[in-house]
Amino acid sequence: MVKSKNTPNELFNEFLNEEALKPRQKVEVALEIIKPETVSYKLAVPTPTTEEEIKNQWRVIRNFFRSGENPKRNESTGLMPVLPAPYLKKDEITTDYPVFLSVESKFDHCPFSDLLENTFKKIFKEKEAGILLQNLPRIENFVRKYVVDAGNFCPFDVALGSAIKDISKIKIKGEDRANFLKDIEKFKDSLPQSGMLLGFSQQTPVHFLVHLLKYQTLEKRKKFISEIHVLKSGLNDLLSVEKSEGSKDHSSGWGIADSLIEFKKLDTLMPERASESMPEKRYERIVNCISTLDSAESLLQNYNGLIFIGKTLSENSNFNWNKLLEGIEVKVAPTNESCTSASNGFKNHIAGLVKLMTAVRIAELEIKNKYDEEIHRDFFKRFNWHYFTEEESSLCPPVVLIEETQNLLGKELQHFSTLIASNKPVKVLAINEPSPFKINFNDSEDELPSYQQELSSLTISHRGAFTLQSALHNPVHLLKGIESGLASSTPALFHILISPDSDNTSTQNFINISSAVEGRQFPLFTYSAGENKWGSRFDINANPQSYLDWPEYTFEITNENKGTDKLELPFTFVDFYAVNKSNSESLFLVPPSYWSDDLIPLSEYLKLSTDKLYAKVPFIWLVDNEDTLQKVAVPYSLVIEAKERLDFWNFIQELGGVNSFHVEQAVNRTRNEMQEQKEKEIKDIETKFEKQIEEVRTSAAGEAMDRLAGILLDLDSITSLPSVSKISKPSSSPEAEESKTSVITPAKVETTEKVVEISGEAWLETFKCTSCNECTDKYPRAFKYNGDKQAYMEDITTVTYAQLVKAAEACPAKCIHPGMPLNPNEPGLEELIVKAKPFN
Amino acid sequence: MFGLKPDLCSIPLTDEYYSLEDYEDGIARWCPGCGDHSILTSVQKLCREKQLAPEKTVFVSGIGCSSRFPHYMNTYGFHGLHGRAFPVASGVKFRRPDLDVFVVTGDGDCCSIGTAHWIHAIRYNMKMTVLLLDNSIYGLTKKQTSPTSARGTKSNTHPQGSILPPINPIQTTLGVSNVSFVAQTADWNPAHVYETIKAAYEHPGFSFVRVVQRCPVYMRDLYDAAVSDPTALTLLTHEKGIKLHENVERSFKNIIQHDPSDINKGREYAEMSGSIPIGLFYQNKNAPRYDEYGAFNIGMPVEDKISAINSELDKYAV
Repeated sequence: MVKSKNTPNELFNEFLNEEALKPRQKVEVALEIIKPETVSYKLAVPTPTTEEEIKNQWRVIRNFFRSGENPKRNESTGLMPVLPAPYLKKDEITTDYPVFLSVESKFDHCPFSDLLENTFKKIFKEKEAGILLQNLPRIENFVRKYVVDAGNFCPFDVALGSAIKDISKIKIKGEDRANFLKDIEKFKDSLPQSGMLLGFSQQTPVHFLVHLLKYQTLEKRKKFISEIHVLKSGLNDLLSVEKSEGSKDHSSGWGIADSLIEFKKLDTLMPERASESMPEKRYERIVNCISTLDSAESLLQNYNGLIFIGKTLSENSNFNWNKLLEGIEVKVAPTNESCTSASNGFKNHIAGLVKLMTAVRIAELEIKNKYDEEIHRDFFKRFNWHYFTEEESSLCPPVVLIEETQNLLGKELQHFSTLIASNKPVKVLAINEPSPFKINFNDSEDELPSYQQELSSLTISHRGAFTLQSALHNPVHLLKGIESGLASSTPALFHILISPDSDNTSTQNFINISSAVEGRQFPLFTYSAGENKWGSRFDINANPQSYLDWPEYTFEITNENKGTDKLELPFTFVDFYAVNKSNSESLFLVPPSYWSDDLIPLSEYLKLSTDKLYAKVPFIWLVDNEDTLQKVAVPYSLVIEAKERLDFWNFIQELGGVNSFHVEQAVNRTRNEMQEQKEKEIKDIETKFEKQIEEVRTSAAGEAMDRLAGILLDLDSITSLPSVSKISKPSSSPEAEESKTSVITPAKVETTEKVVEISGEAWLETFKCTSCNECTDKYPRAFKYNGDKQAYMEDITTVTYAQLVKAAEACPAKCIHPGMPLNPNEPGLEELIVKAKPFN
Repeated sequence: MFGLKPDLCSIPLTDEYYSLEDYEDGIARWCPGCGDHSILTSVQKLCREKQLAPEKTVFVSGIGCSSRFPHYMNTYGFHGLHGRAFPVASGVKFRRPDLDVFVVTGDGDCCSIGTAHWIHAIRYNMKMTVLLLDNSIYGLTKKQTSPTSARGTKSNTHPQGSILPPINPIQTTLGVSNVSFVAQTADWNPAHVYETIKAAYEHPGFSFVRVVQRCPVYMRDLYDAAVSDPTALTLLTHEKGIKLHENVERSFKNIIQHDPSDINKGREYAEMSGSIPIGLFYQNKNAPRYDEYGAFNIGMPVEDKISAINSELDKYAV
C-alpha cells in the first residue's frame, strides 16, 4: 500500500524542518558561469608505487602536518584553488563594476549592467529591439573599458555617449538598420542624463562616500533652504508691520476712507495686544533669527561635510586626496589623534548647525505667534544636537573620519571606543588594506594574526552605532551600507576590505578580496542600530551561502572514461590562503599514489571530534597549470587558523540567527509539544473509530445472522430489511433531475454559437507560416513578411474575398483564415463562404 | 560566486550585424508550398541568431530538390555529386575546423545512393549539422519511389504501389556506432523546425535532423491531413531535449517525456506508428569526434611541411 505523504505528523515535521529555518538566500549565479566547455579538469593519475615508498612518503607527510616543514616546496608552487583558478588566469573578468552613481533621486545607484537591463525591460516588450538586446553586452564592455581608461571615475553621459556612438557603427543592412537606430535613440532617452560611473579600485569606497556626501541629501537640503527663505520673509513681514505700526497714524492718509471710518473708535474695539507695539526682546530675537538664517546657504547648500583623514593615510600616495575630496572640507588628523580630532571637529561643526536649527524653530514659533518666553527661553538655551529630530539630523552635513583599520585597532582603539560610545553621529570609514597573511610556524603569541581585525564586532558591542563590514568586490552591499549609515542619526563605522596596492592585476586583486569573503576570513554584515529587534538589526545575507560553514559549489570534472563526475567543493579559509600564489608553497602536494583514507578534506577534518582525528591529515583540492586536480596537505598551524576563522564565522552566524542555540531549543520544545499533542489526537481518533468499528461489527454480525436465518427459513424478504435500504443508492429527486437537465439550457447553447460566429474577420496565424512565398508572391499588397520572414496580413482590402479564399486554399501551412467577406456585393459570395468554411 | 558574473568579455561580438537578408541569395525556385522554404527560413534565422559570418559558413549538398539549398544561402556552398555531400563536408571540416558546416541532403541523396557515406559520417561524428529533407519521393526527376516512400506509394517506378517497406532514417542513424545526435521535426511546424535545427547546431558533434516534409506536387496527400490535425504529431520532450516556448508546446496534443540519453527508448519511439514522433531521440555530447584529430598542422609553413615530409621519407631511405 502506498503510504500517504500528507499525514499530520509528516506535514508537521516538514514544517519544522531545519531547512525552513535557514535565512532566505539570494539566487546565486553559482557555477553556471564555469561551463564544462571552458573548464574541464581531470584527476591526477597514480603511478605504480611500492609499499615501502608509501610508508616513507607518509612519514614525510605527517612530519609536514606537525611542523609545516615542506621538503618539496617547489612541487606545490603555482597551484591554485580550483574554484577561482579559471578567473585567475584571465586578464579581464565580468563583475558588478562599473557602478552607476545617480545625482537625481528618481534613479537609484546600481551596477551599470542592471541599469541597462532594467531600462531595456521597462521600455521594450518581448521580441522588440532584438538587435539592441544582442548588443547590450557590447555597450557594457565598451563602457567598462572606458571607465578603466578614464581612471575608474567618469561622467555617465560621456561614457554612454561614446558607447552609443560605437554601437551605431555596426554594419546592418536595410530596414533593420533604421529600426536599430530608432531603438538606440529610444533607449538612450530613457537612461539617466547625468550621474557618474565608478570602477573597481582602491579609491572606490572613498568615491562612494564623497558622492553620497554631495548628492544624498542635496535635494532635501535645497528644499529646506527654500523653506528657510519663506521663514525669513515671514519674520521680515513681522518686522515691517512693527515698523509701520510705529510710524503711521491710522487716522489720516486713507483718503475717502477717512470720512467713512472713525479710526480712533476702531482702535478701542480691537484687542489690546493687537494694537501694542512689539516688545524689544522679541524684536531683537527676530532680528537675530534672521541673521542666523542668512547663514543657512553657507552651512547647508554650499557645504557637503567635514572629513578628517588619518595622517598616515593622507600621506599614502595611492590616494589622490585632492581630487578625491574635491568640494568637501578636509582636515588632516595628527597621528594617534584621529578619533579625538574628529570628535572635537564635530563639536565645532555642529555648533553652527545647532544655532541654525534653533533659529528655524524660533522662526516657526514667532510666525505662528506661539513663542512663549517662559517655556521656550530655557528650552532653547539648552538646545543642542541631541534634540535634533531625525529630519533635522539628516539635513546636517556629517563629520567623517577616514582612517586605516590598523591604526584604529592600535593606539587609537580607546579613542575610537570613546567616539563611538559618545553617540556623536560621526561616521568612520575604516579602510582595511590587509598585509599579506603568512602562517606563524614559530608559535610566537605576541602578535595577533593579520586577519584578526574585528573592528566591526567591537563597534557592535557599543550597540548604538550603525556598523557595516563590507568588501570592495560587492559594490551593491557596500553602497547600500554606506548610504544607510550616512542617513542614520547615530555614529557609523564603515569597515571596508580593499586590496593592497601591488603589481597584481585588477583580476588578482578582485579575486583576493572576494575569496577573503568566500573563505570566511572577512564576513560581510550590517548592523542597523536604529531597528527595534536584534533580528532585524543584524544582517549576514550578503555572504555566500550564509547558512553553511563554508560555501559549497558543485563542479564537473572529466573522469578517466571521458565522462563527467560531480565534485562538491567547499571553499575554506585555506583555499583563500592559497589564492595568494606564494602561499601555496607552504602546502604539501600529495601525489595520487599516496592518497589514502587518512587524507581527508579539511572541511570534514574540522568537524571531527578529537578522538577521531588520530592519524588523519587534512587536504584541500588545488589545480595545476595543466588543469589537473591535486590534493595538497594542510599543516596543523594553518588548521588552527582555519578553525579560528570558522569559530568567528559561527559566532557571526549565530548573531544573524543561523544555527541559533535559542531558536533550536525553542524549535525542539515546540516540536515535542506538538508531537505529544498530535499523538494524543491520533490516539483519541483511534479510540473513537475503534468504538465505531466495534458497533458496526456487532450490527453487521446481527444482520448477517438475520439474513442467514431468512435464507434458511426461505423468507424472501431480504430487500425489505432496513440494513439493505441503507446501502442502496438514494433515488434522484425530481429537482436534481431538473438541475441535471438544466445544464444544457437553450440560453447556453446560444452563447456557444455566438462564440463560434465571432470569427468574422480574416486572420493569419503568423507563427505557423512556413515562408513558402505562395501568398506573398500572388498578393503582395495583402500579405507581407515580418522580420522573421513569416507572413502577416498587411491590407486585406486590396484583395477580393474570392482571392482571399484562394490564398487560404493554397496555403500549405493552412494558416490563412479568410473569415467573412468585407464586401457584401461581391459576386458568388454564397459559394465562397462555403469554400472558406474549412479554413475558418 | 566570488562576485563574478557570466563572462561578457568572451562573448564574440562582431562589428557587423547580419540580418536575414545577409543570408539570402536569389529567389528560391522550389515549388510553391514546398516544405524546403520553411527550412530555408529557419536556417537563415539560426544564422542570424548565432550571427554566423557568411564567409565562415559552408553549406554542402548532393543532388535533388533539397540540394539546391546552398544556392539560396549567401554563404559558401558546395553543390556536390549525388550522394556525396558527406565526404565533401567531412573534408571541409577536417581541414577547416573554424568553419560552420551544414549538410543539406534529401531522402534519395542520403538514404539511397549516399548511404555508405551517411553511415560513416555518423560514426566519424565530426561537428556538422545535417538536415535530411525527407519528402518520401524523388521530386526533381518527377516522381519515382524513394527509399523512404511508404509501402504502396504509387509512382512512375511503381505504378501499382511500392513493394518494400521504407527505410527508417531515424532508426538507421540510431543503429550506427558512435551516433551522437538524432532528432526529427516536421516542416509545417516552423517553431519546432527552428528549435530543432538550433539544438542540432549547438551539439558538439554530428547532429542529424530528419525533417518530415511535404512535396506539394507529387506527394500532396501524404501529410495534408496531418497539417491540420494536432494529434498527427507526438512531441518528445525533456529537460535535456529541445526547448520549446510553452505556447508552442501547449499546441501539441500528444506529448511524451523522453530522456534523450536513453538510446533504447529512442529506438522504440522511432518505430512509433499512427502519429509522427518529433523531438530529440538521442544525444551524447561526449562521443569521440574525428575532426578533433584533424587539422593539427594548420598554419604550418610550406617549408616546414616539406621538411616534415622529407624527414618522414628519410626513415625509409635505403
